Amino acid sequence: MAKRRPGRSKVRRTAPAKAPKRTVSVRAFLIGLGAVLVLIAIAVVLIRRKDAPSIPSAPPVVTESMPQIATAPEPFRFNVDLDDASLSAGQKDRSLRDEQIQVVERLVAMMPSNANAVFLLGMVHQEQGDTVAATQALQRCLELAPNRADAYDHLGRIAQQQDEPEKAVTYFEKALALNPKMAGLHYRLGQVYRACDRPDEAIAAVTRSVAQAPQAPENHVLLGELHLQKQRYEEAQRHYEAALVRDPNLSKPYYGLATAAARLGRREQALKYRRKFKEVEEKEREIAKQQRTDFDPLQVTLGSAAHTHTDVARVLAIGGHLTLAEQLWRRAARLDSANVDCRFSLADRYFRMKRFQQALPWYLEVIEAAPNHGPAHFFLAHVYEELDQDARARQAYEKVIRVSPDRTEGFLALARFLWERDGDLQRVKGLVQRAVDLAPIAANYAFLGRVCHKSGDREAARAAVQKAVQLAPRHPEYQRLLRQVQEN
Amino acid sequence: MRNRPSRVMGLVALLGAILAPGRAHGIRLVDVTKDTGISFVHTDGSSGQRYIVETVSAGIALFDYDNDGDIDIYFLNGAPLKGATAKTPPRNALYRNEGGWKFVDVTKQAGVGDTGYGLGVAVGDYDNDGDRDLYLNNYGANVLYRNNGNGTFSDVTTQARVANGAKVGAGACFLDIDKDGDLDLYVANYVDFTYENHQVARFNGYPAYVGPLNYEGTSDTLYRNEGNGMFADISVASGIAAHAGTGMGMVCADYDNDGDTDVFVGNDVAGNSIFENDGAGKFEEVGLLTGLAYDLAGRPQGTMGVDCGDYNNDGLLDFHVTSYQRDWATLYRNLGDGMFEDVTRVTGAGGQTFAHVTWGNGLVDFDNDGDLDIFISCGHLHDNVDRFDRTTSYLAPNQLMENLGDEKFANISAKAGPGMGVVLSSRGAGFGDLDNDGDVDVVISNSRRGPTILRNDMGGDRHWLGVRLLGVKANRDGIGSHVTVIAGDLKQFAEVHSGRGYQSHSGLRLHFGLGDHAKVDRLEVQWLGGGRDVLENIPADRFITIKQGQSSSRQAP
Repeated sequence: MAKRRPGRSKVRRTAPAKAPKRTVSVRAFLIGLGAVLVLIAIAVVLIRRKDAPSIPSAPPVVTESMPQIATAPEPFRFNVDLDDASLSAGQKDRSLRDEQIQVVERLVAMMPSNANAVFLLGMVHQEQGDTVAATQALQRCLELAPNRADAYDHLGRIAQQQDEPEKAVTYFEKALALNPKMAGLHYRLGQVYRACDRPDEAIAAVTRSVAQAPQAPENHVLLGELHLQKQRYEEAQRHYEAALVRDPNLSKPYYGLATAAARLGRREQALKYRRKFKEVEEKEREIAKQQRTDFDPLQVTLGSAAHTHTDVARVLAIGGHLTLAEQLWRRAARLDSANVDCRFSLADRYFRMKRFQQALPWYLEVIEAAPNHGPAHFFLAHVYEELDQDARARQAYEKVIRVSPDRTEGFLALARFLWERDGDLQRVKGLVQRAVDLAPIAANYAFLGRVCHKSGDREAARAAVQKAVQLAPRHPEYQRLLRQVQEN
Repeated sequence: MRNRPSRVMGLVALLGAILAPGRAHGIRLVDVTKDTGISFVHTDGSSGQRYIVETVSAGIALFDYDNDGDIDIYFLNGAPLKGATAKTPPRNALYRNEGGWKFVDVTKQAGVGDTGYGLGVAVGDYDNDGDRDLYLNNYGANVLYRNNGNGTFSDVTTQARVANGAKVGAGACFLDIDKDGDLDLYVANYVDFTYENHQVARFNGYPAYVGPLNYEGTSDTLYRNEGNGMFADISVASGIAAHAGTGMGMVCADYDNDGDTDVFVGNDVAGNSIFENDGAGKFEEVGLLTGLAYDLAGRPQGTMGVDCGDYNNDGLLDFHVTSYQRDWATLYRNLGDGMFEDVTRVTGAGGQTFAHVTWGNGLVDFDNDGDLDIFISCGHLHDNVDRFDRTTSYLAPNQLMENLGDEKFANISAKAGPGMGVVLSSRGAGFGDLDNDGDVDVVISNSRRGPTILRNDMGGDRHWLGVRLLGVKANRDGIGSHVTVIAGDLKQFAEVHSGRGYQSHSGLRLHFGLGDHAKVDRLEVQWLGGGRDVLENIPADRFITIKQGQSSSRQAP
């Protein structure tokens, strides 16, 4: 198998597929921030591509891309040893909760003007039930970043929990003004309007929520309740039925249907729905009972602490505190074997530092926890390439295509891999053609032109390169390539 | 300029209204506990093990044990649970009302100082001998104290056969299931907790009590009065035993207004049970059909206390239940066809209960304006909740919702007098006119503390009537009988209950606020089991006793 060509382009890598969503929605902002960074990276790629050859290459091997901090800060000290048998589960649980607070408080001490840091502090306090401290932090966050819809949203949720629906309405309305598309916000607003005895506004809010998430049954359940309250029984029934279409295993809609039928004087129908309600509700109770039996609070805390550390590390990394971030990601990995984000972040860090041997096990752990994690397979393939394990690299690229068949990165990367090794040109052509189909951009046409040219299909090569030139007329590389295919 | 003085006067009037401490007839509850001589302190028998029973202790009873015309107080107490010790065994306590807000501990001479683990209590004259007997629903063996009529009681549990094994008790009620004139006994049971199946939860790393779902629910017990001092367990034959639940507070009331007494048992984190009486002592569970089992959304509530009364004066009994944190204490309006509607949100009856665990409750006319207000006692069951959930608190102020008369309630807790500022972890609450001054006072049982005694210092000159029934053919206190009072355009309806609220008892003497009406035009008693008495033109502001069959205008049923 041919070796890679020397001097291949240093195109910055881009993720082939979205990483699995994190389960804790409150951290959506940081995930969003991550997405923004990926977009910036893509932008850099595109800018650099102006001068780069059109064949995509392996990901870059760069050193630290984040700002560096001159003096190394004190590492975090973690008080609880998870293997210490002398500690009860409760003691470990409490210590881990304290640890989260300490970590995020240190983050805020290091970056007191960083709205993300302060927001995280609010989240951790809220998770731990300290709504007073959470409120203070969220309000501080809003002083730093007045347009944070998520901070208003969480203040609203706290007010809702504290039975202050008027206050919750104010916060949710502010959040809505800043981000009308925030998931679940219209629904929550509907809930608090109802608590304020403003049913018409509640109905309007939840109707907007239906438009936003048409498949969510809870919107229809709430609308059913609101119409029931307004004594619009037929309308209530319509919404309860809509909820059951979306999830037939819910008990509440049957209760609502029974109530509405009873109010409408349809006694037989009411009895039928009540029987069904009882049946479904008993199933729900059994499930709840089982969940209660299986519930392990320490496991929940371990997961929560790992999330916190991962998020804090992300903010630290953005601020250039990479060593501290690394320490937290490692701690998170130790706390929760299912946490993908911390593992991917560690792998990424070692990849950037050319420590491929060190990156390898973390990518493998990510894949073990999330077998269809496209980016992990993608970078794992590159790591294998760097370690000259071509068979595994190819296998990994093939996997990228399987888990992310609607994205170009896997097709292009495998095509490049085979191209560089003088592999089966027909396969390479097929892969690049698929990439062109998915993303008909100049770079992909140019690559296709090269492959066709090499395989002797001059007509096709010319057509592809002409398309590339047409899409990027001032790109010197494509002009040169066009001359080359026309000359031959 | 000519208009200026009137504008100023208007402003002064407005300011006066704003700055006044309350309305002229405003409810004002004052904490008089420390002056009453009551030294009772509740214990839950805890030792840090967090047994579930600790959280649910205890109810309270307000009744006239010595027939001297004033209301005495019986406090339930816990007992040391496994792992706990006590130098002196905690006892229940009976305090005799001496008048003038002075109470004397007569527990010892009365012989009612049970040392069992007290949870619920009911009062009723089960032997129809003219004095009220006492039933204690304990964790462990229950106790029936027969009133000897001379200020003492005898423990007749064994001969009456009502010990009910060693279950975790809850509410209890005397009721006449078959209208035969003697009182039967309904005993609610909570869960199948034992020391062997004890569990502890952990919230945010802190140890916490588990809820009822960690145990199996249990069926309740129904005893039929055999008329010879003995009771027979008819739980199976009556249909009650077929339904396991997590019983808490309860009330026995004619929910469908068909002339017999039905049973409402509040279940904790499960649908409430409504046992409909067929009139002869056979019961069918119809909670789901009535709309009383679940709240508006179809969610089971963590029902604690249950009370009923006609809050909207439409002649039908409405129900009120208290519940767990993040749920409102809930008001159900009787729609008149055996169905009920959760009207908590549309009436505002939930007040600020969402953040708290709510327990004792009472539909009571505190301001004598002719409609029923709502008192709710609050306090969390986790003594360490402040450490893991700051949306609530272990100690919490109680709440008072004033009935505004138009199907709306207003939370007036903050302006209803200093007594509403008491912040403890309350459980059962009882209601009665302790000083016979024409307004209803409150006694609250607090977990691990002494009780709270709230004197009603309602201002104004509104009228009232206190009514006690004396059954002849019906049971002696008229339990289960209906009373309708008409004063001008004001028509009120009430039923006599034994056992109500959170595992408590109060209210054998009915209280009617009459507003500006100085007399009752017509008072009608529909006796349980048949017979009606009608009295007319009764002057207000007094207590009256109506003996069955006494009225000149007695009518056939």
